[in-house]
Amino acid sequence: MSLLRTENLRVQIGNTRVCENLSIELKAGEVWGMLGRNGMGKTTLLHTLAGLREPQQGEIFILQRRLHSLRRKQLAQQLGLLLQQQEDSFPSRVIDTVISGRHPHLSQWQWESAEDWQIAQQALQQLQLNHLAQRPINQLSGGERQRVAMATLITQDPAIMLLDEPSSHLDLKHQIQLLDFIRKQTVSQHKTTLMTLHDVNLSARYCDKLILLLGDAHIMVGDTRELLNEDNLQCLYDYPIKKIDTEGFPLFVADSL
Amino acid sequence: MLKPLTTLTLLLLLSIACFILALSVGSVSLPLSDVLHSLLGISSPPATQADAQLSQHIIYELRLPRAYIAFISGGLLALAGMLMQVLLRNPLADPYILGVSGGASVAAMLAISAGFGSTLISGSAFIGALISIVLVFGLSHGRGSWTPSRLLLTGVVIAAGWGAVINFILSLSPERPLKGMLFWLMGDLSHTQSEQLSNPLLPMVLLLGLLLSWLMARSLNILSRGELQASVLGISLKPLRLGLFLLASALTAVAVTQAGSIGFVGLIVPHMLRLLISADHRWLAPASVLCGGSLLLISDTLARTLIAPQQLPVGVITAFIGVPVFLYLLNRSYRQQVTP
Repeated sequence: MSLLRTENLRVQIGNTRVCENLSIELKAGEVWGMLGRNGMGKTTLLHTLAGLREPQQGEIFILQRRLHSLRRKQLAQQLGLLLQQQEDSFPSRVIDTVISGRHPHLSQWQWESAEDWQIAQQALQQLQLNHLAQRPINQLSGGERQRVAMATLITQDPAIMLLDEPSSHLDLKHQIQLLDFIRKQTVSQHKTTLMTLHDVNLSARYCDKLILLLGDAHIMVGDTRELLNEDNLQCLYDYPIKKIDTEGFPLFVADSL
Repeated sequence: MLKPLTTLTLLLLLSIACFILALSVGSVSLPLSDVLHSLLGISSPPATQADAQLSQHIIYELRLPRAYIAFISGGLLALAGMLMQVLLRNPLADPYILGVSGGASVAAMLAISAGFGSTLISGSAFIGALISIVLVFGLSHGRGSWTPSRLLLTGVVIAAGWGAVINFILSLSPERPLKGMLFWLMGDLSHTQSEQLSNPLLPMVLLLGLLLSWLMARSLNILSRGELQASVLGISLKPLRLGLFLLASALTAVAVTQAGSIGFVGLIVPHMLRLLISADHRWLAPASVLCGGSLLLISDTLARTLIAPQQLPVGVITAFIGVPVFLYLLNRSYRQQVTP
């Protein structure tokens, strides 16, 4: 089933063209990755897909409905976005931050029910954060804060998850645990995930499909296996990349110039 | 942190205690029984009829109106401060930061120098506040994108502009109205009249403000986590921002009209409660009203009794209480961060 679809999408920031005539379809159970150098517009494209900014041209469909015909609250019930940075201007406990994910599912006057609190608790548990539930949010480390943001997204429980660098700030073990979890959630709950990553090998390991942003609206879309090769990556990062064959899957490392 | 419901109950009891204290303390100190008798309308024994009439007069004509206005103004300021802090996502924002009080002050100064009575001074102050609100809103919502920092900078600059105009008026003013002006600028409740007791508009504004804040409260919880995150969680930013700005400004305008620009209540009360109770605005809004009201009521009681028969402007007392309390809380919260 198609959860998110774009038709002839054109996105531009100032004079930088991010994409032109981009038509993609994210189906239930699929994990997508997006790779590109800094400043190629990965975040801009994600924000456009999340309805935070208007595309210059083209249409976005969320579960077959036009994105701009949905109210923000309706959209938030179907689509969630993990932001690259969290803003914590005021003191708050971890659990109160996570429960904010239930906002789009509650009506104006409604208070969070016992079930909502349970959903939030469960999300904390799934990300191994339950021991931090009562902690003030500003006492967390960068990695812990990132996982709390992920727990908030899981509490929101959208069918479409857009993740802006989910593995940033995380140590190796938590990177793998988080991406394992995301993949499992996506497949078992029939969601779809699109995430930006800076680690080619993580994207090789976890993504079914890839979007490569090469710059100046030049984009490659396709199966991870087909797209990930030395030539494409060299073009993508403007740097020589070497492929090393190991037993399970190939590894890509930066070569010397 | 304290349990929200317990704190709210404690604050309610505190408010009542403040009221009783404010009614019994003063140039003539009234025993608690007299205060309760005349509040509850129980007639006293005939022997003390004359005494009862006197205390009746003191309570209903002098102290109750003033206590009432103090409580409501304090509640309005604290609520407005809470809203302003979320709107600007700055825990150090206060109700006056966007120049509402500056506009009100200029208009009030002009009215005082023209020799108007206190009703006309209040009226001018309200109009001045409205002019300032429209000005800041128009300038910060002109062409281009809207950001909290643009609103903040516009407001701060406008406020500075009003400050210059105030200084200009003060420096040209003859001596006689000068003291009235200074008291007004520091915040003063000594001009309260007993007719204000029967005016239903003020408590209605406060209750309406509380109701609207409550209606927005969960959205405010989300907005305090940043505008992007709020959008992602399904909040339409434009109407919420507009509503917040107008509501906070209107509440401030009404408070300033009543009591002049009393500082610190709108800054420290919401900030303190955020640290003490919870970050949930559904609790914060009523708690701010009760705590802000009590703080101003206590301060005003001190202002008229500390060096009686001389009266101090209440703004001086709120600053004397506010500064050390704020610094203590700030230090405490930072200490907690270092050693969790």
